[in-house]
Amino acid sequence: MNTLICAGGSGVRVLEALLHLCAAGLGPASLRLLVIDPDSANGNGARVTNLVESYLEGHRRFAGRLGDGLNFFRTELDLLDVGGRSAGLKTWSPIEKGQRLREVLNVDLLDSTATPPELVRLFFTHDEINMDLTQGFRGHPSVGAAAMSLVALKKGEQPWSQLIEKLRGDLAHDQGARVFLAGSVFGGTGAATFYPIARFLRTVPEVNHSRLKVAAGALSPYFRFEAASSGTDSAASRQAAKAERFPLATRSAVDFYEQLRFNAVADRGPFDAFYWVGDDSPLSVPYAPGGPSQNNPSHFVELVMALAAVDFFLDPGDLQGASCYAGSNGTGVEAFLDWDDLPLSRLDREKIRRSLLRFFLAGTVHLGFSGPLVRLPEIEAFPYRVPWYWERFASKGDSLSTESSRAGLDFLDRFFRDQHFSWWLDLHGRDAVRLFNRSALNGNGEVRLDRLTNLLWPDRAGESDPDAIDSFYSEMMKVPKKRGGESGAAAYLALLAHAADRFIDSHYTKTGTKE
Amino acid sequence: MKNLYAFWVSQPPDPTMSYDLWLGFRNEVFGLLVGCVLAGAAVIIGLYIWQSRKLTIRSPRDPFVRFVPMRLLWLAFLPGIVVGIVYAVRYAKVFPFAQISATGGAVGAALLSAFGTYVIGQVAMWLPGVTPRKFLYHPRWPWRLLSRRRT
Repeated sequence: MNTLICAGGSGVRVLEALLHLCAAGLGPASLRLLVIDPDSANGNGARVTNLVESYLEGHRRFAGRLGDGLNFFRTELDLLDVGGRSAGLKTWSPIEKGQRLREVLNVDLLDSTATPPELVRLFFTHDEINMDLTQGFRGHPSVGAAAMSLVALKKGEQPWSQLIEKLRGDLAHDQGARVFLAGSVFGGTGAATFYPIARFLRTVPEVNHSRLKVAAGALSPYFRFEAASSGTDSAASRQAAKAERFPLATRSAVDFYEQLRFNAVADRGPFDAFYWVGDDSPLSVPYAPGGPSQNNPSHFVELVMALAAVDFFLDPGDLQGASCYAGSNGTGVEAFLDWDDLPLSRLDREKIRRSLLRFFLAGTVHLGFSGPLVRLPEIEAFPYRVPWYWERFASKGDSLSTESSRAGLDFLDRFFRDQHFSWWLDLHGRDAVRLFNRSALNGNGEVRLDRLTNLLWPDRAGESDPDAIDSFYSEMMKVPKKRGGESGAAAYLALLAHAADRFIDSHYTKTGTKE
Repeated sequence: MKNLYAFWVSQPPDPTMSYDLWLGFRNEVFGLLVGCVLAGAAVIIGLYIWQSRKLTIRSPRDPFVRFVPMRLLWLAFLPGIVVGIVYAVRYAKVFPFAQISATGGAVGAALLSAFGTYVIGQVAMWLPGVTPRKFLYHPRWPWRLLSRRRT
C-alpha cells in the first residue's frame, strides 16, 4: 500500500497534481493520504479538499466500470477514516489553534526542571518563541521541526494511530509499505516535516523493517513573493516568510539531507529515495501570511513531483540503497518545460503523454459537444439519429437520461470545467510550460473544439478546424462494440476515451505526440 | 420469368394492332425503362454518396437536423417522366391509327420506372459503406418505417 504525506501548502498542491494524474489513470492502485499543515484553513487546502471529494465521487462512479484498458479514477483513496467518523481528507497539525512555540515546548515550565530556560534562546529568537503558529511556521523550519518532533507523543491519537496500524498491516505483506513525503524545503511546514516524520516512521515497524520504504519529494524554490509588511520593523514583518531567504533555506536543507545520507548507518538512513524538483525561474505570487488568502496557483513543479511519487510507488524494490533523483532538462530547450523535460526515471514518457492527452480530449469533447448532445430532448425521441447512442444505449434499454446517468454527466461537467482544466490552465500560466496548447484553453474552464487537433504544444497559430469534432464523432462510431464500460455514464466515458485513442492515432501520432 | 417480362404490356391494348409491331414497341420501351431506372438510380446514389459525405457534425444539434441527402430520392420521378414521355411519343409514332390512347400505358410505365428507381436507391442507401457511419440510421430501415418514433 502506498501512503502520501503532504506537508504544507506546496505539499497539498503536489497532492492536487497527483489526484489529476490518478483521474487520468496514471496513479497507483491505492493511495493512503495524510496532510500535515498547521494552517488547515489555507486556500490551497480548501481547494484540494474539494478535489479529494470530487475524486472520490469519480472513483465511486467510474472505477472498475470502464472496461479493460481504462483506468480513469482507478486509484482507491484511503483517507484514514475511523469508523465513519470525520470522513474526508485528514489534516493533522502538531500545534493547536492559537498556540505559540512557547506553549508547544512548555518553555514556561522549564524553570521547574533541570533545563535552563536560556537554552531555548540558543535555538530560537524571541519573535519565534512568541510567534502565533495558527497560520503555519512562516518559513521558520527550526520552529516547525521542534513542533514536528513531538509527533511521537501523538502516536496514540488519530490519525497517527490509524496510520501506524495500517502501515504495520502493510508490512506483513511482501509488497510492504511505501511512504512518500511531499513538501517544500524552503518554507516552513514542509521543510520542518521531512526528517522528524521520516524518523518517526522508522520507529513504526516491529518486524520486517526493510519492507518500509520512505521517500521524500523535496521542492526547492519555485515561487517567490514579497512580504506585505516588508520595510517595517514590526514583529509580523520579521516573522513573515521572505523570498530572499528561500535559496539559503534550500542550501541548508540540502546540506542537512546530504549529511544524513553520508552518515546513514549500514546504508539505512531515514530515506530510501530523495527526489529534488525546482524551477530556476520562480513564479511571483502575492504574499499571504496564511488562511484562505493563501491560494497560490498550481505550478508545473508540482506535476513533476507528483510524477516522482508515481515513479516511487511503481516499484520501490528497484531502489538500490539511498537513491537520489534530480530533474533535468532532458533533450528539450533550456528554460522551457516540454514533455521531454519531465524527469522520468522509470515511467514511460509516451504512455504518460498519451494518457493525459486522452483524458484531456475526452473532457474537451464531453464539455463542448457530447455532454450537451446527450442532454437534448431529441436524443430520447430520435435515438437512432446518433448511431453510437442507439447501438450502445437505446437499443439495449440503457439511457443517459436517467437520474443516475445525469448525475454522472453532471459530475464530469464539474470535474473537467472547475477542476481539471482549471488546473491545467494554472500550470500553463507561463509561456515556459509547453505541454498542452495554452491557446486551446479558453479561460472559462473549457477547451476550444476547433483546436481539437492541436491540443498539444506547439500552437499552430491561426489554425482552426471546425470539422475536428466531426472527425471525433466519426471515431466514436468506429469504436468496437465490445469495448466500452458497464452502462450509463461509465459506458459513455469509456466510449469517449476509446474514441480519443483513435483520434490520437489519426491526428496526433504523426503531427504531435511523435514529434 | 418469361411471364414476368414486361408483364403490364404483354398484350397490345388494341386488338387491331399488329402484334409484331407491338412486340417491337414493347421491347423498345422496356429497354428504355430499365436503362432509365438504372441510370437514375446510379445518379441518385452517386449524388447521395457525395452529398452525405459533405455533411459534417459541428454542434450537438447537428445529428437531429433534417438529413438532406434523402431528398435525392425525389429524383426517382425523373426516369419516370422520361419513360412516360418517350412511351407516349413512340406510341403515337408506331401506332398512328390506334384507337386506344397512350396515356394509360405511359403513366404505368412512368410509375413503374419511378418506383423501380426509388426502390433501388433506397436499398442502396442501406448497403454497408454507402451511408457514412455517423448517419447510419438516417435512411430508416423498413421495419422502422412502420414503427412509431419513440417520444
